[in-house]
Amino acid sequence: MNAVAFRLFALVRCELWQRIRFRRRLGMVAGGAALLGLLGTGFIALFTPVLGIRIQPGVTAPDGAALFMIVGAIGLVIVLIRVLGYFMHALFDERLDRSILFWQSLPVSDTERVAAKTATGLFAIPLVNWAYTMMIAAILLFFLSLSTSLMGHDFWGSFWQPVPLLSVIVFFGVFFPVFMLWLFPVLGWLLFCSAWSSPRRRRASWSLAIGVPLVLGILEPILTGTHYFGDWVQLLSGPFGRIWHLALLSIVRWRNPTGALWATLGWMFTRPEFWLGGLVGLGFSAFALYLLHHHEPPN
Amino acid sequence: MSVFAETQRLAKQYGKTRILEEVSIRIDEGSIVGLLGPNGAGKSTLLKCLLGLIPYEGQCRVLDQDPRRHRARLMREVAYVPDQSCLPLWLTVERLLRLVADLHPRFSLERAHHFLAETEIRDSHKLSQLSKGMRVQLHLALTLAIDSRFLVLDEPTLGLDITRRASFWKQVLADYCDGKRTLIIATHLMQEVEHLLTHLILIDRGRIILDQPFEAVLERYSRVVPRPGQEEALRALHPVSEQEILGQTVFLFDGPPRSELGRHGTLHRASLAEIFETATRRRTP
Repeated sequence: MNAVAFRLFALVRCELWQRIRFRRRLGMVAGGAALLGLLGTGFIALFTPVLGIRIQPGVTAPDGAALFMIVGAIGLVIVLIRVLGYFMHALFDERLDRSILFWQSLPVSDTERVAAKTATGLFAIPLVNWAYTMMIAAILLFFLSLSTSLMGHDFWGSFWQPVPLLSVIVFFGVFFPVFMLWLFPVLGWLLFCSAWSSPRRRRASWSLAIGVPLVLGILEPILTGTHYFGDWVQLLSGPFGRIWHLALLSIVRWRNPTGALWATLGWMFTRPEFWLGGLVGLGFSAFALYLLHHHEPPN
Repeated sequence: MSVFAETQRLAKQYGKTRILEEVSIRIDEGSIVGLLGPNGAGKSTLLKCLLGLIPYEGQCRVLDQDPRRHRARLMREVAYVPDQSCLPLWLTVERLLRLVADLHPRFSLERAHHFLAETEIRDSHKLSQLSKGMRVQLHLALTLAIDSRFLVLDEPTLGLDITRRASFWKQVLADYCDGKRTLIIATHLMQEVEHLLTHLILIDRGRIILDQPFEAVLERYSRVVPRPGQEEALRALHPVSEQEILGQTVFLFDGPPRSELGRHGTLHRASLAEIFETATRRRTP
């Protein structure tokens, strides 16, 4: 690994140390999912014999991949909130806690720091959250299988459905970071706002981050009669809505549209907006870098 | 002797307040420079300009590079302790050491552990749990564990007790005062550093008021305790200050030949505090 890549890796790892309390989070996630599953299984174990519920012959076990789909879609909401919050604070927190002087006293350039923060938000945080999400889904699937086995199903039935579970897991592993790349123009804008922000104009930076898009969205149709901004927002949120639609379908019908999932991903890559948005995101990151370089550290 | 840093008409302004004005200095490699001045004189700002941490007007070259443009490259050669606690408090000591080891090519984890072994700081401690003094100790241990040729210290021992301060300066003396490494110290605690210095820069209200080799400064300033009846003769030589200490008059001179002063009284070496006080008092309107 060359020196720059090694430094970037060290900086990304440090960002994760700051943003994610791994051990506590792991305990909470695993413990919460296990508790939920245990309660569900206990409920079924208690009431199934009383109510005399048995699975009719010919009915297959619930699709495990569908469960992963719905948990993955919920995980997408969580990772989205986390990443938006991360970019809003990325270049501001170090000025708030005055650690910027420490970072500047190290042989690390501003470019490397901005690149590390961008990589953390686009890839590292989504992937860590993907791992947590899939772990929750696995724990819930275990208890779902346990519950259905109490009603007469084969315990492994939910795992070995025709739709490969692995495909859904891999899909979300790819989709989480790709969706963040899809949102890069928004995330780059937030990074720019965080670079512009300072302890004195903290509120102003929030107003800038939210107010400018809001005003643009309201004024554009009134002033010009066009809807470019609205169309763009609709396009940007398209894949998110599509994943939720597929997840809900999979739960209602207990079957998994994996093909449609991968098709959504393929569609994103082939859209020119995806690449154009990437350039816009890079542009905002470059502006953020410029501001960072010209900022005065706190006295 | 090659030059570590050189500035020409360096200036810095925060809003409407001018912090540095027309600062032109030269710091040679291998020298140990004391940068002294009252509160708000511009010492920290000057150091930040030298290290490229803030924008400035005028010219500044450090190790023959523009510090603003090549800060990261410069920081490979320079270890810096700022005047305020700036370590990321959400890290543990162990993670902080790992981070600096990964990012700084001249950092020695072994040396850092060696320095920290003499303190009560442990790897598992979170920085937010450490006292102010412990954070200073940790930052100094990090800095001393960097095998750099240039060390820039801005009020490094603020918050340390007297024993730790002595131990720190002893370590600096052992590691840095070998004539090859360059050290710039900005401090208020003058008596702690005066035995180390080879060069003295006094700054007041953003302007350099004295910039000389320390030996020349000591040669220039003399403290004289007059022989009986010689007070008037000494007053005629225009002392810069006259004080009554324990019933005895003590004069401080800037300039007159020591041989001449010696004829009228006993000569003593002026302390850094006296020189500092005299030089800054003269500028007071």
